[in-house]
Amino acid sequence: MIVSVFSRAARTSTIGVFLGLVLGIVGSNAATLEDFSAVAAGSPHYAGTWEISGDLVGSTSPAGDLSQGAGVYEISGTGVFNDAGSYLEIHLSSSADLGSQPALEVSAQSLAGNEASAFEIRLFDSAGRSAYAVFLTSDFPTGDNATVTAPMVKHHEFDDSTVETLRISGGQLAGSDAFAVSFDAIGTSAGSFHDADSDRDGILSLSELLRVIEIYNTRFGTRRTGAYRLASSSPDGFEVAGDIDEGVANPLARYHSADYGRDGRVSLSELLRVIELYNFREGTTRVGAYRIDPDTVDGFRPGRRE
Amino acid sequence: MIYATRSSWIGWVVMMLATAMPVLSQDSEYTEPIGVIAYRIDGGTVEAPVTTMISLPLTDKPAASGASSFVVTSIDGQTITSTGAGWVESALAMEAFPYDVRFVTGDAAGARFAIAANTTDTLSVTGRSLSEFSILTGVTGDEAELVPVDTLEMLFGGALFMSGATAEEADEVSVFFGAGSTGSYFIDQGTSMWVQSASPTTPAGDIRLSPGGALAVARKGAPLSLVVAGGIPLSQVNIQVQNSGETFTNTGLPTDITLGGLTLETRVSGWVSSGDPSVADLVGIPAGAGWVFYFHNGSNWQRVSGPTTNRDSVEVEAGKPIRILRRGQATGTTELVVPLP
Repeated sequence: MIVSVFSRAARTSTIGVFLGLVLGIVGSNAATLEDFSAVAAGSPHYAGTWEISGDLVGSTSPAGDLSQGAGVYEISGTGVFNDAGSYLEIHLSSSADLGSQPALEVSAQSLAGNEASAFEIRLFDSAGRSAYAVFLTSDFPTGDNATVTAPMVKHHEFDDSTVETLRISGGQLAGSDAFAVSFDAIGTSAGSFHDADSDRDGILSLSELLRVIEIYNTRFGTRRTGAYRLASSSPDGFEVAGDIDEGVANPLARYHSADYGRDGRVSLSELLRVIELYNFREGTTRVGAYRIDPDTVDGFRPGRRE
Repeated sequence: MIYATRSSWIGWVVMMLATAMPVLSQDSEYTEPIGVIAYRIDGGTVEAPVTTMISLPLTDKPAASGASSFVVTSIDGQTITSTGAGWVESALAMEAFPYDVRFVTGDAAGARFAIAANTTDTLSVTGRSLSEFSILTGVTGDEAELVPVDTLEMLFGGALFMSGATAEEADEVSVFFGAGSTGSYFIDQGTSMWVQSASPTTPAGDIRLSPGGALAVARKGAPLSLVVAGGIPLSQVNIQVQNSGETFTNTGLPTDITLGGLTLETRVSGWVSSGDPSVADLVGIPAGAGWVFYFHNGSNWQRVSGPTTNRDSVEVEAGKPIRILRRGQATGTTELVVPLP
């Protein structure tokens, strides 16, 4: 067979969507899909290790340790794992209209014993098509709820106006890690902010662009690598990684929004994309406004947020 | 005639049918119908791999010497003879370049058999039993064709997927066929070769990617778009479905089909329809690394959880697998015949 490959780093004519694991300030216009105050009222369906007998297809009976708390629902327990066949489905009492919101917002906390590195929230429309977002459990520390936003990856015919079902799972094909997360709320969101937008005003300023250029200019000796790493103490959460040479893998728990190739480096094409966002003009005035767009290579596009 | 249908999920599928009727003999040439499927492999990270399920119903054109299409002159057990086929001994049973034989006409039309060995005019096949079918033999016997089968190295060689020192760091491809998974595989960073995830020193480049099965790609890098072109079936598709337990397969055709159109409840003999999903046979449609299961309640297809809405219009998209789960205890298999659209 003839196989042609188009990396999403080079935009193709097929509609693709960008999976960004973006940690950011909660977007405005959030709408709650599930507040976990009374999960049993949502005709829940459990499957796999989250179901009382571990049934592949599932039932309405949860595994013993899954429990309703005060405004939260805890998914944890012995033998509760992060495989995609283990899940909780909540059927909305009436179809929800996401209003074309591009992101999901989750308020949750990890529980003691959690080993799963991520979980997936998937929405199904009336035709069975789905949209999903993936969240890292490391963004939900134990002890208190944290709220995280991530852009949704939508089937290109996903109908935002007929959302019927919400599925929570660990999402891994052969997951065998213990899953222990307490969910407080899931809703939609207008999305979060580009990592370059350090003041979170929806606009890329010159100083914010220069910071991305600084990362791009990272050198190992005399070789430009563009390598960076996470740094919680840094204002933008990143720092240059001058100790990583060309050709050395640089996997990160989270990638800078500019790094849409997700290789732990900012390339020239990726920098040019940030410059494109920076250069957005209204008339003849450079504004630098950008907005969420899951159908672009980096999950953003020039223009003001609605 | 040109059929162009838009796959609801993965782009355009163009089927070009030959204007001349094919004459199946080793001396004839004809324009093979081809199809194109565009796949989107969703992106992920090492910490949060994202899985996309796909199937590969399109096939290559045989490159082996001898008859690519032939008449069955005799059958003996699991051995097919086509007098004068002119194959090169053992050339059709090489691990690195495997072949299936697919019947084009007769009772076995659409059924595929893996070639385990061959002489110049015989094929020894495995997989299904030839005795399942009433195969006509002789000068006017049933017609069959050679179908190359892709392997991991043949289809996904090179730098398509991320390699890694371990399976956890690399993209992983899991292969499903028939009753379950045949294993998971990744490209070893040091050797640039496909290896078994469970045994990283064991080469896996020759792992068969049967067009009748399913693949799960656990991606840890940026999203990918794959465009695959190949031949489409000349006849109906005949799929082997387990009488009990699971079958991972696909509809065999590079077109979308609805649950209502697939009509498993009538096409699979003994299919259990019931208003109780814990009793009914089920079909799963992939959603990421998981599945959404549906059952036939006697009147229409219904989702196993949620409202009792009629789901006959839910689509099985071209290039996507299905997972059939049968509740019975009977051994053996039953055929599912999917006609050409």
